[in-house]
Amino acid sequence: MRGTIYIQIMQDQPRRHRVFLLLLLVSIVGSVPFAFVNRPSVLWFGIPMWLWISLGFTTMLALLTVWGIIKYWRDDRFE
Amino acid sequence: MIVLSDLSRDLLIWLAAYVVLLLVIGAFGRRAKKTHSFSDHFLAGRALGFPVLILTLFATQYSGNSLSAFPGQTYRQGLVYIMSVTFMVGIVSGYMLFAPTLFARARERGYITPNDFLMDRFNSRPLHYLAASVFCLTLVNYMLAQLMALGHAAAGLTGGDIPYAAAVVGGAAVILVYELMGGMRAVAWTDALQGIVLAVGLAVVVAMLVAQVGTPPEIIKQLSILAPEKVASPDLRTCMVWISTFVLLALGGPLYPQAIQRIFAAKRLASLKRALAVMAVLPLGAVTAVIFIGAVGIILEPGLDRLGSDRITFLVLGDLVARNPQAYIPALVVMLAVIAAIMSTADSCLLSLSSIITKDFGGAFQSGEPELRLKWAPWISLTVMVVLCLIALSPVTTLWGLLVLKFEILIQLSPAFVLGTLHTSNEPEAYSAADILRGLIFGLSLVLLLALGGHRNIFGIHSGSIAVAANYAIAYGSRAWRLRTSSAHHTTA
Repeated sequence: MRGTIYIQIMQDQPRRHRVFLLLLLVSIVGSVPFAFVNRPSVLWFGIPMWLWISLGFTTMLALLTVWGIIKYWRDDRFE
Repeated sequence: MIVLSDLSRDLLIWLAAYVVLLLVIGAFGRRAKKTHSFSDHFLAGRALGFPVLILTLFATQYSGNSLSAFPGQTYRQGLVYIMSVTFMVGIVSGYMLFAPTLFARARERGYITPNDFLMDRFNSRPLHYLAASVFCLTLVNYMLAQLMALGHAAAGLTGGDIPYAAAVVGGAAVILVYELMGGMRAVAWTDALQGIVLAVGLAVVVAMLVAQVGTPPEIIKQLSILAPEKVASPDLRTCMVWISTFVLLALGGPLYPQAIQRIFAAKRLASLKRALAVMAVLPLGAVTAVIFIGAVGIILEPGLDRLGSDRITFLVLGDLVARNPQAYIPALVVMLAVIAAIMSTADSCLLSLSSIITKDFGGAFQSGEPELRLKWAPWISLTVMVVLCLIALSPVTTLWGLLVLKFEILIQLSPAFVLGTLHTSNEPEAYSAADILRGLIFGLSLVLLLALGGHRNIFGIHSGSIAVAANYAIAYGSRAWRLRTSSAHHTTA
Protein backbone atom coordinates (compact mmCIF):
# COMPACT_ATOMS: atom_id res chain seq x y z
CA MET A 1 0.00 0.00 0.00
CA ARG A 2 2.77 2.39 1.03
CA GLY A 3 4.70 1.55 -2.14
CA THR A 4 1.63 2.36 -4.23
CA ILE A 5 1.33 5.79 -2.60
CA TYR A 6 5.00 6.56 -3.27
CA ILE A 7 4.69 5.48 -6.89
CA GLN A 8 1.71 7.82 -7.26
CA ILE A 9 3.66 10.73 -5.73
CA MET A 10 6.71 9.93 -7.84
CA GLN A 11 4.66 9.79 -11.02
CA ASP A 12 2.79 13.03 -10.39
CA GLN A 13 5.37 15.66 -9.49
CA PRO A 14 6.85 18.63 -11.34
CA ARG A 15 9.80 16.80 -12.89
CA ARG A 16 7.51 14.20 -14.52
CA HIS A 17 5.87 16.82 -16.80
CA ARG A 18 7.99 17.08 -19.91
CA VAL A 19 6.50 20.27 -21.37
CA PHE A 20 6.98 21.92 -17.98
CA LEU A 21 10.62 20.79 -17.84
CA LEU A 22 11.20 22.01 -21.38
CA LEU A 23 9.80 25.44 -20.49
CA LEU A 24 12.05 25.54 -17.41
CA LEU A 25 15.06 24.72 -19.57
CA VAL A 26 14.12 27.43 -22.08
CA SER A 27 13.81 30.00 -19.29
CA ILE A 28 17.18 29.00 -17.79
CA VAL A 29 19.04 29.17 -21.12
CA GLY A 30 17.15 32.35 -22.07
CA SER A 31 18.21 34.08 -18.85
CA VAL A 32 21.87 33.87 -19.93
CA PRO A 33 22.43 36.57 -22.57
CA PHE A 34 24.39 34.41 -25.05
CA ALA A 35 22.70 36.26 -27.95
CA PHE A 36 24.18 39.58 -26.82
CA VAL A 37 27.83 38.47 -26.53
CA ASN A 38 30.18 41.07 -28.07
CA ARG A 39 27.26 43.27 -29.12
CA PRO A 40 26.88 46.94 -28.22
CA SER A 41 24.53 47.59 -25.31
CA VAL A 42 21.26 49.11 -26.59
CA LEU A 43 19.11 50.90 -24.02
CA TRP A 44 15.33 50.42 -23.93
CA PHE A 45 13.41 52.57 -21.44
CA GLY A 46 16.78 53.39 -19.90
CA ILE A 47 17.76 49.75 -19.26
CA PRO A 48 20.08 47.65 -21.50
CA MET A 49 18.13 45.29 -23.74
CA TRP A 50 20.17 42.25 -22.60
CA LEU A 51 19.17 43.04 -19.02
CA TRP A 52 15.47 43.21 -19.94
CA ILE A 53 15.70 39.86 -21.72
CA SER A 54 17.64 38.22 -18.89
CA LEU A 55 15.28 39.50 -16.21
CA GLY A 56 12.30 38.54 -18.38
CA PHE A 57 13.44 34.91 -18.62
CA THR A 58 14.35 34.89 -14.93
CA THR A 59 10.82 36.09 -14.13
CA MET A 60 9.51 33.31 -16.35
CA LEU A 61 11.66 30.81 -14.43
CA ALA A 62 10.31 32.11 -11.11
CA LEU A 63 6.68 31.97 -12.27
CA LEU A 64 7.13 28.49 -13.73
CA THR A 65 8.61 27.37 -10.43
CA VAL A 66 5.57 28.74 -8.58
CA TRP A 67 3.31 27.03 -11.12
CA GLY A 68 5.15 23.72 -10.73
CA ILE A 69 4.95 23.88 -6.94
CA ILE A 70 1.25 24.70 -6.87
CA LYS A 71 -0.03 22.70 -9.83
CA TYR A 72 2.17 19.59 -9.96
CA TRP A 73 3.13 19.01 -6.32
CA ARG A 74 0.02 17.53 -4.80
CA ASP A 75 -0.37 15.17 -1.89
CA ASP A 76 -3.80 15.22 -0.28
CA ARG A 77 -2.59 13.32 2.80
CA PHE A 78 -0.45 16.21 4.00
CA GLU A 79 -2.18 19.29 2.53
CA MET B 1 33.22 59.16 7.53
CA ILE B 2 31.94 61.20 10.48
CA VAL B 3 28.49 59.91 9.68
CA LEU B 4 29.77 56.33 9.56
CA SER B 5 31.39 56.69 12.98
CA ASP B 6 28.12 58.07 14.40
CA LEU B 7 26.36 55.06 12.94
CA SER B 8 28.97 52.80 14.51
CA ARG B 9 28.36 54.22 17.99
CA ASP B 10 24.59 53.77 17.81
CA LEU B 11 24.97 50.35 16.23
CA LEU B 12 26.64 49.17 19.43
CA ILE B 13 23.51 50.05 21.43
CA TRP B 14 21.20 48.46 18.84
CA LEU B 15 23.34 45.33 18.77
CA ALA B 16 23.19 44.99 22.54
CA ALA B 17 19.38 45.29 22.49
CA TYR B 18 19.20 42.82 19.62
CA VAL B 19 21.31 40.23 21.46
CA VAL B 20 19.04 40.52 24.53
CA LEU B 21 16.01 39.98 22.28
CA LEU B 22 17.61 36.87 20.75
CA LEU B 23 18.23 35.42 24.20
CA VAL B 24 14.64 36.15 25.26
CA ILE B 25 13.40 34.35 22.13
CA GLY B 26 15.70 31.44 23.00
CA ALA B 27 14.11 31.27 26.45
CA PHE B 28 10.62 31.24 24.91
CA GLY B 29 11.78 28.45 22.60
CA ARG B 30 12.84 26.43 25.65
CA ARG B 31 9.43 26.93 27.29
CA ALA B 32 7.66 25.83 24.12
CA LYS B 33 9.46 22.46 24.03
CA LYS B 34 6.96 19.64 24.28
CA THR B 35 9.00 16.44 24.35
CA HIS B 36 12.61 15.39 24.79
CA SER B 37 13.02 14.05 21.27
CA PHE B 38 15.07 14.56 18.10
CA SER B 39 11.96 15.76 16.29
CA ASP B 40 11.16 18.38 18.92
CA HIS B 41 14.73 19.68 19.31
CA PHE B 42 15.99 19.56 15.72
CA LEU B 43 12.71 20.08 13.79
CA ALA B 44 10.55 22.13 16.20
CA GLY B 45 8.16 19.19 16.49
CA ARG B 46 7.46 19.47 12.71
CA ALA B 47 5.15 22.36 13.51
CA LEU B 48 6.49 25.34 11.56
CA GLY B 49 3.61 27.24 9.95
CA PHE B 50 3.79 29.46 6.87
CA PRO B 51 4.87 32.80 8.46
CA VAL B 52 7.80 31.35 10.40
CA LEU B 53 8.70 28.97 7.58
CA ILE B 54 8.98 31.69 4.93
CA LEU B 55 11.02 33.96 7.21
CA THR B 56 13.37 31.20 8.34
CA LEU B 57 13.90 30.05 4.74
CA PHE B 58 14.55 33.66 3.75
CA ALA B 59 16.99 34.31 6.60
CA THR B 60 18.79 31.00 6.02
CA GLN B 61 19.15 31.35 2.24
CA TYR B 62 20.18 35.02 2.36
CA SER B 63 23.31 35.19 4.46
CA GLY B 64 25.26 38.32 5.32
CA ASN B 65 27.06 37.58 2.09
CA SER B 66 24.00 38.59 0.11
CA LEU B 67 23.97 42.07 1.63
CA SER B 68 27.68 42.81 1.49
CA ALA B 69 29.28 40.55 -1.13
CA PHE B 70 26.59 40.86 -3.84
CA PRO B 71 26.84 44.68 -4.01
CA GLY B 72 30.65 44.28 -3.94
CA GLN B 73 30.50 41.92 -6.92
CA THR B 74 28.17 44.32 -8.74
CA TYR B 75 30.62 47.14 -8.06
CA ARG B 76 33.44 45.13 -9.64
CA GLN B 77 31.59 43.31 -12.45
CA GLY B 78 28.80 45.76 -13.26
CA LEU B 79 25.19 44.97 -14.12
CA VAL B 80 26.14 41.52 -15.34
CA TYR B 81 25.99 40.42 -11.72
CA ILE B 82 22.21 40.43 -12.18
CA MET B 83 22.97 36.74 -12.79
CA SER B 84 22.66 36.30 -9.01
CA VAL B 85 18.88 36.86 -9.32
CA THR B 86 18.70 33.83 -11.63
CA PHE B 87 20.85 31.82 -9.21
CA MET B 88 18.60 32.50 -6.22
CA VAL B 89 15.46 31.62 -8.21
CA GLY B 90 17.26 28.50 -9.48
CA ILE B 91 17.83 27.23 -5.93
CA VAL B 92 14.05 27.10 -5.39
CA SER B 93 13.52 25.51 -8.83
CA GLY B 94 16.07 22.88 -7.78
CA TYR B 95 13.85 21.77 -4.88
CA MET B 96 11.31 20.50 -7.41
CA LEU B 97 13.76 17.77 -8.45
CA PHE B 98 13.37 15.83 -5.21
CA ALA B 99 11.42 17.69 -2.50
CA PRO B 100 7.91 16.29 -3.25
CA THR B 101 8.99 12.68 -2.69
CA LEU B 102 11.39 13.59 0.12
CA PHE B 103 8.69 15.47 2.03
CA ALA B 104 6.22 12.56 1.72
CA ARG B 105 8.77 9.99 2.87
CA ALA B 106 10.03 12.22 5.68
CA ARG B 107 6.51 12.69 7.00
CA GLU B 108 5.78 8.96 6.95
CA ARG B 109 9.14 7.64 8.13
CA GLY B 110 10.01 10.43 10.60
CA TYR B 111 13.31 11.57 9.07
CA ILE B 112 15.39 13.97 11.16
CA THR B 113 18.44 14.48 8.93
CA PRO B 114 18.86 14.23 5.13
CA ASN B 115 20.91 11.08 5.73
CA ASP B 116 17.85 9.33 7.14
CA PHE B 117 16.45 9.34 3.61
CA LEU B 118 19.66 7.91 2.14
CA MET B 119 19.80 5.14 4.75
CA ASP B 120 16.10 4.35 4.32
CA ARG B 121 16.25 4.35 0.53
CA PHE B 122 19.66 2.72 -0.13
CA ASN B 123 20.37 0.85 3.14
CA SER B 124 24.12 1.35 2.68
CA ARG B 125 26.43 2.28 5.56
CA PRO B 126 29.31 3.41 3.29
CA LEU B 127 26.93 5.79 1.47
CA HIS B 128 25.42 6.92 4.78
CA TYR B 129 28.77 7.84 6.33
CA LEU B 130 30.24 9.30 3.16
CA ALA B 131 27.19 11.53 2.67
CA ALA B 132 27.21 12.53 6.37
CA SER B 133 30.90 13.48 6.03
CA VAL B 134 30.16 15.61 2.95
CA PHE B 135 27.32 17.37 4.78
CA CYS B 136 29.54 17.99 7.83
CA LEU B 137 32.39 19.35 5.72
CA THR B 138 30.00 21.71 3.97
CA LEU B 139 28.41 22.90 7.20
CA VAL B 140 31.75 23.38 8.95
CA ASN B 141 32.94 25.45 6.01
CA TYR B 142 29.76 27.51 5.88
CA MET B 143 29.77 28.13 9.63
CA LEU B 144 33.43 29.06 9.67
CA ALA B 145 32.81 31.54 6.87
CA GLN B 146 29.88 33.04 8.82
CA LEU B 147 31.90 33.36 12.05
CA MET B 148 34.74 35.09 10.21
CA ALA B 149 32.24 37.32 8.39
CA LEU B 150 30.63 38.16 11.74
CA GLY B 151 34.00 39.20 13.15
CA HIS B 152 34.86 41.36 10.14
CA ALA B 153 31.38 42.92 9.93
CA ALA B 154 31.14 43.80 13.62
CA ALA B 155 34.70 45.14 13.73
CA GLY B 156 34.22 47.10 10.49
CA LEU B 157 30.78 48.48 11.28
CA THR B 158 31.64 49.62 14.80
CA GLY B 159 34.94 51.12 13.71
CA GLY B 160 36.87 48.60 15.81
CA ASP B 161 34.87 49.26 19.01
CA ILE B 162 34.02 45.55 18.87
CA PRO B 163 37.32 43.83 17.96
CA TYR B 164 37.28 40.92 15.48
CA ALA B 165 38.07 38.30 18.13
CA ALA B 166 35.42 39.59 20.55
CA ALA B 167 32.79 39.57 17.80
CA VAL B 168 33.64 35.99 16.79
CA VAL B 169 33.63 34.64 20.35
CA GLY B 170 30.70 36.78 21.54
CA GLY B 171 28.56 36.05 18.48
CA ALA B 172 29.30 32.33 18.73
CA ALA B 173 28.38 32.34 22.44
CA VAL B 174 25.05 34.08 21.82
CA ILE B 175 24.14 31.68 19.00
CA LEU B 176 25.14 28.72 21.13
CA VAL B 177 23.06 29.85 24.12
CA TYR B 178 19.77 30.41 22.25
CA GLU B 179 20.25 27.29 20.13
CA LEU B 180 20.85 25.13 23.20
CA MET B 181 17.86 26.65 24.96
CA GLY B 182 15.26 26.35 22.24
CA GLY B 183 16.65 24.10 19.48
CA MET B 184 15.00 24.57 16.08
CA ARG B 185 12.14 26.63 17.59
CA ALA B 186 14.55 29.26 18.87
CA VAL B 187 16.56 29.17 15.64
CA ALA B 188 13.43 29.52 13.47
CA TRP B 189 11.91 32.26 15.63
CA THR B 190 15.15 34.26 15.74
CA ASP B 191 15.42 33.68 11.97
CA ALA B 192 11.93 35.16 11.64
CA LEU B 193 13.05 38.27 13.55
CA GLN B 194 16.24 38.45 11.47
CA GLY B 195 14.24 38.00 8.25
CA ILE B 196 11.94 40.91 9.17
CA VAL B 197 14.91 43.18 10.02
CA LEU B 198 16.54 42.23 6.71
CA ALA B 199 13.43 42.82 4.58
CA VAL B 200 12.38 46.10 6.21
CA GLY B 201 15.89 47.60 6.22
CA LEU B 202 16.50 46.71 2.59
CA ALA B 203 13.14 48.03 1.36
CA VAL B 204 13.46 51.39 3.14
CA VAL B 205 17.07 51.99 2.09
CA VAL B 206 16.39 51.17 -1.57
CA ALA B 207 13.35 53.46 -1.56
CA MET B 208 15.51 56.26 -0.11
CA LEU B 209 18.29 55.63 -2.63
CA VAL B 210 15.78 55.94 -5.46
CA ALA B 211 14.51 59.20 -3.98
CA GLN B 212 17.96 60.68 -3.23
CA VAL B 213 20.25 59.34 -5.96
CA GLY B 214 18.00 58.24 -8.81
CA THR B 215 15.79 55.59 -10.34
CA PRO B 216 17.39 52.54 -12.00
CA PRO B 217 17.25 54.09 -15.53
CA GLU B 218 18.84 57.29 -14.17
CA ILE B 219 21.59 55.30 -12.45
CA ILE B 220 22.24 53.29 -15.63
CA LYS B 221 22.40 56.51 -17.66
CA GLN B 222 25.07 57.87 -15.32
CA LEU B 223 26.90 54.54 -15.42
CA SER B 224 26.91 54.58 -19.23
CA ILE B 225 28.88 57.83 -19.07
CA LEU B 226 31.10 57.17 -16.03
CA ALA B 227 31.86 53.46 -16.52
CA PRO B 228 30.34 52.11 -19.77
CA GLU B 229 31.96 48.70 -19.24
CA LYS B 230 29.70 48.21 -16.19
CA VAL B 231 26.54 48.23 -18.35
CA ALA B 232 28.02 46.30 -21.28
CA SER B 233 26.62 42.90 -22.23
CA PRO B 234 28.69 39.98 -20.91
CA ASP B 235 31.37 38.18 -22.93
CA LEU B 236 31.19 34.46 -23.75
CA ARG B 237 33.33 33.39 -20.80
CA THR B 238 31.07 35.28 -18.38
CA CYS B 239 28.05 33.55 -19.95
CA MET B 240 29.74 30.17 -19.36
CA VAL B 241 30.47 31.09 -15.73
CA TRP B 242 26.81 32.19 -15.45
CA ILE B 243 25.36 28.88 -16.67
CA SER B 244 27.88 26.79 -14.70
CA THR B 245 27.21 28.68 -11.48
CA PHE B 246 23.49 28.25 -12.09
CA VAL B 247 23.96 24.46 -12.31
CA LEU B 248 26.07 24.49 -9.13
CA LEU B 249 23.51 26.48 -7.16
CA ALA B 250 20.32 24.93 -8.55
CA LEU B 251 21.56 21.41 -7.79
CA GLY B 252 23.65 22.21 -4.70
CA GLY B 253 21.63 24.96 -2.94
CA PRO B 254 18.63 22.75 -2.12
CA LEU B 255 20.99 20.13 -0.66
CA TYR B 256 22.09 22.27 2.26
CA PRO B 257 21.10 20.10 5.25
CA GLN B 258 19.65 23.08 7.10
CA ALA B 259 17.39 23.79 4.09
CA ILE B 260 16.27 20.16 3.83
CA GLN B 261 15.52 20.12 7.56
CA ARG B 262 13.20 23.10 7.10
CA ILE B 263 11.27 20.97 4.60
CA PHE B 264 11.02 18.27 7.28
CA ALA B 265 9.96 20.84 9.89
CA ALA B 266 6.97 22.20 7.94
CA LYS B 267 3.66 21.74 9.72
CA ARG B 268 1.67 21.07 6.55
CA LEU B 269 2.51 20.61 2.90
CA ALA B 270 0.36 23.62 2.01
CA SER B 271 2.52 25.86 4.25
CA LEU B 272 5.71 24.52 2.71
CA LYS B 273 4.44 24.97 -0.85
CA ARG B 274 3.32 28.53 -0.16
CA ALA B 275 6.68 29.35 1.45
CA LEU B 276 8.65 27.91 -1.48
CA ALA B 277 6.39 29.71 -3.97
CA VAL B 278 7.14 33.04 -2.26
CA MET B 279 10.86 32.15 -2.12
CA ALA B 280 10.80 31.59 -5.90
CA VAL B 281 9.70 35.15 -6.69
CA LEU B 282 11.47 36.87 -3.78
CA PRO B 283 14.87 37.22 -5.53
CA LEU B 284 13.26 39.33 -8.26
CA GLY B 285 12.81 42.05 -5.62
CA ALA B 286 15.34 41.29 -2.90
CA VAL B 287 18.41 40.45 -4.99
CA THR B 288 17.65 43.11 -7.60
CA ALA B 289 17.53 45.63 -4.73
CA VAL B 290 20.96 44.51 -3.51
CA ILE B 291 22.38 44.74 -7.05
CA PHE B 292 20.93 48.27 -7.24
CA ILE B 293 22.91 49.25 -4.10
CA GLY B 294 26.11 48.01 -5.79
CA ALA B 295 25.30 49.96 -8.98
CA VAL B 296 24.64 53.14 -7.00
CA GLY B 297 27.98 52.54 -5.26
CA ILE B 298 29.85 52.71 -8.59
CA ILE B 299 28.58 56.27 -9.01
CA LEU B 300 28.89 57.46 -5.42
CA GLU B 301 32.21 55.84 -4.51
CA PRO B 302 34.29 55.37 -7.68
CA GLY B 303 37.81 53.96 -7.71
CA LEU B 304 37.63 51.50 -4.81
CA ASP B 305 39.91 48.47 -4.71
CA ARG B 306 38.64 44.94 -3.99
CA LEU B 307 38.75 45.38 -0.21
CA GLY B 308 36.99 48.73 -0.41
CA SER B 309 34.34 47.46 -2.81
CA ASP B 310 33.42 44.68 -0.34
CA ARG B 311 32.37 47.50 2.02
CA ILE B 312 30.36 49.29 -0.64
CA THR B 313 26.98 48.70 1.07
CA PHE B 314 28.16 50.56 4.18
CA LEU B 315 29.84 53.33 2.21
CA VAL B 316 26.60 53.88 0.26
CA LEU B 317 24.66 53.93 3.54
CA GLY B 318 27.05 56.55 4.96
CA ASP B 319 26.63 58.63 1.81
CA LEU B 320 22.85 58.29 1.98
CA VAL B 321 22.75 59.48 5.59
CA ALA B 322 24.98 62.43 4.69
CA ARG B 323 22.48 63.42 1.97
CA ASN B 324 19.39 62.81 4.08
CA PRO B 325 19.54 62.58 7.89
CA GLN B 326 16.15 60.80 7.82
CA ALA B 327 17.98 57.78 6.41
CA TYR B 328 19.86 57.37 9.71
CA ILE B 329 17.51 54.83 11.29
CA PRO B 330 17.00 52.75 8.09
CA ALA B 331 20.79 52.69 7.60
CA LEU B 332 21.20 51.40 11.15
CA VAL B 333 18.56 48.75 10.48
CA VAL B 334 20.45 47.56 7.39
CA MET B 335 23.72 47.40 9.31
CA LEU B 336 21.99 45.39 12.01
CA ALA B 337 20.42 43.26 9.26
CA VAL B 338 23.88 42.33 7.94
CA ILE B 339 24.92 41.02 11.33
CA ALA B 340 21.50 39.41 11.82
CA ALA B 341 21.75 37.65 8.45
CA ILE B 342 25.18 36.27 9.31
CA MET B 343 23.95 35.01 12.69
CA SER B 344 20.81 33.45 11.23
CA THR B 345 22.83 31.43 8.74
CA ALA B 346 25.36 30.39 11.38
CA ASP B 347 22.71 29.23 13.88
CA SER B 348 20.96 27.07 11.25
CA CYS B 349 24.29 25.48 10.30
CA LEU B 350 25.15 24.76 13.94
CA LEU B 351 21.83 23.05 14.63
CA SER B 352 22.07 21.00 11.46
CA LEU B 353 25.65 20.01 12.16
CA SER B 354 24.75 19.01 15.70
CA SER B 355 21.85 16.85 14.42
CA ILE B 356 24.05 15.05 11.87
CA ILE B 357 26.82 14.32 14.36
CA THR B 358 24.37 13.25 17.08
CA LYS B 359 22.05 11.15 14.93
CA ASP B 360 24.05 9.99 11.91
CA PHE B 361 27.49 9.47 13.42
CA GLY B 362 26.24 8.81 16.96
CA GLY B 363 24.77 5.45 15.91
CA ALA B 364 28.29 4.10 15.39
CA PHE B 365 29.14 4.71 19.05
CA GLN B 366 25.90 3.92 20.84
CA SER B 367 23.36 1.35 19.77
CA GLY B 368 19.86 1.12 21.24
CA GLU B 369 17.28 3.88 21.52
CA PRO B 370 18.51 6.74 19.27
CA GLU B 371 16.68 9.44 21.26
CA LEU B 372 19.00 8.76 24.21
CA ARG B 373 21.76 10.38 22.18
CA LEU B 374 19.94 13.73 22.38
CA LYS B 375 21.80 14.39 25.64
CA TRP B 376 24.99 14.61 23.55
CA ALA B 377 23.65 17.47 21.41
CA PRO B 378 24.65 20.36 23.76
CA TRP B 379 28.20 19.01 24.13
CA ILE B 380 28.52 18.48 20.38
CA SER B 381 27.29 22.03 19.66
CA LEU B 382 29.68 23.42 22.30
CA THR B 383 32.66 21.46 20.94
CA VAL B 384 31.90 22.47 17.34
CA MET B 385 31.65 26.14 18.32
CA VAL B 386 34.90 26.10 20.35
CA VAL B 387 36.85 24.41 17.54
CA LEU B 388 35.43 26.74 14.87
CA CYS B 389 36.12 29.82 16.99
CA LEU B 390 39.73 28.70 17.41
CA ILE B 391 40.07 28.28 13.64
CA ALA B 392 38.30 31.59 12.93
CA LEU B 393 40.70 33.37 15.29
CA SER B 394 43.76 32.00 13.50
CA PRO B 395 42.67 30.88 10.03
CA VAL B 396 44.87 28.20 8.50
CA THR B 397 45.21 29.17 4.86
CA THR B 398 45.86 25.66 3.55
CA LEU B 399 42.74 24.39 5.30
CA TRP B 400 40.80 27.37 4.01
CA GLY B 401 41.93 26.58 0.48
CA LEU B 402 40.31 23.16 0.70
CA LEU B 403 37.17 24.46 2.32
CA VAL B 404 36.29 26.87 -0.48
CA LEU B 405 35.40 23.79 -2.50
CA LYS B 406 32.25 23.30 -0.42
CA PHE B 407 29.74 23.71 -3.22
CA GLU B 408 31.75 21.61 -5.65
CA ILE B 409 31.77 18.86 -3.00
CA LEU B 410 28.18 19.21 -1.78
CA ILE B 411 26.73 19.08 -5.29
CA GLN B 412 28.15 15.55 -5.71
CA LEU B 413 25.32 14.35 -3.44
CA SER B 414 22.75 15.56 -5.97
CA PRO B 415 22.36 12.19 -7.80
CA ALA B 416 21.70 10.43 -4.48
CA PHE B 417 18.65 12.64 -3.88
CA VAL B 418 17.48 13.33 -7.45
CA LEU B 419 17.91 9.77 -8.77
CA GLY B 420 17.11 8.23 -5.38
CA THR B 421 13.64 9.77 -5.36
CA LEU B 422 12.80 8.52 -8.87
CA HIS B 423 11.85 5.01 -7.70
CA THR B 424 11.07 3.04 -4.57
CA SER B 425 13.88 0.71 -3.50
CA ASN B 426 11.96 -2.44 -4.50
CA GLU B 427 11.43 -1.39 -8.12
CA PRO B 428 13.76 -3.38 -10.41
CA GLU B 429 14.85 -0.28 -12.33
CA ALA B 430 15.65 1.67 -9.14
CA TYR B 431 19.17 3.05 -8.70
CA SER B 432 21.13 0.94 -6.21
CA ALA B 433 23.53 2.13 -3.51
CA ALA B 434 26.42 0.82 -5.63
CA ASP B 435 25.31 2.95 -8.63
CA ILE B 436 25.14 6.07 -6.49
CA LEU B 437 28.39 5.31 -4.63
CA ARG B 438 30.35 4.78 -7.86
CA GLY B 439 29.20 8.14 -9.19
CA LEU B 440 29.75 9.90 -5.85
CA ILE B 441 33.27 8.57 -5.32
CA PHE B 442 34.24 9.45 -8.89
CA GLY B 443 32.69 12.93 -8.60
CA LEU B 444 34.43 13.71 -5.31
CA SER B 445 37.77 12.37 -6.59
CA LEU B 446 37.51 14.43 -9.77
CA VAL B 447 36.76 17.64 -7.85
CA LEU B 448 39.75 17.08 -5.57
CA LEU B 449 42.07 16.14 -8.45
CA LEU B 450 41.05 19.20 -10.48
CA ALA B 451 41.50 21.41 -7.40
CA LEU B 452 44.92 19.95 -6.65
CA GLY B 453 45.87 20.52 -10.29
CA GLY B 454 44.84 24.15 -9.94
CA HIS B 455 41.81 23.78 -12.25
CA ARG B 456 38.95 25.35 -10.30
CA ASN B 457 37.25 25.96 -13.63
CA ILE B 458 37.82 25.16 -17.28
CA PHE B 459 36.75 27.96 -19.64
CA GLY B 460 34.32 29.23 -17.04
CA ILE B 461 32.83 25.81 -16.22
CA HIS B 462 33.38 24.98 -12.53
CA SER B 463 35.12 21.74 -11.62
CA GLY B 464 32.02 20.85 -9.56
CA SER B 465 29.73 21.14 -12.61
CA ILE B 466 32.06 18.93 -14.68
CA ALA B 467 32.34 16.40 -11.85
CA VAL B 468 28.59 16.24 -11.19
CA ALA B 469 27.91 15.62 -14.88
CA ALA B 470 30.35 12.70 -14.74
CA ASN B 471 28.80 11.60 -11.44
CA TYR B 472 25.30 11.43 -12.99
CA ALA B 473 26.65 9.68 -16.09
CA ILE B 474 28.44 7.02 -14.01
CA ALA B 475 25.38 6.37 -11.83
CA TYR B 476 23.22 6.08 -14.97
CA GLY B 477 25.78 3.87 -16.75
CA SER B 478 26.22 1.64 -13.69
CA ARG B 479 22.47 1.07 -13.47
CA ALA B 480 22.16 0.43 -17.22
CA TRP B 481 25.02 -2.11 -17.04
CA ARG B 482 23.45 -3.83 -14.04
CA LEU B 483 20.04 -4.04 -15.69
CA ARG B 484 21.58 -5.34 -18.90
CA THR B 485 23.66 -8.04 -17.22
CA SER B 486 20.74 -9.03 -15.02
CA SER B 487 18.45 -9.31 -18.08
CA ALA B 488 21.12 -11.36 -19.95
CA HIS B 489 21.51 -13.60 -16.88
CA HIS B 490 17.73 -14.24 -16.78
CA THR B 491 17.64 -14.98 -20.52
CA THR B 492 20.53 -17.48 -20.18
CA ALA B 493 18.89 -19.13 -17.17
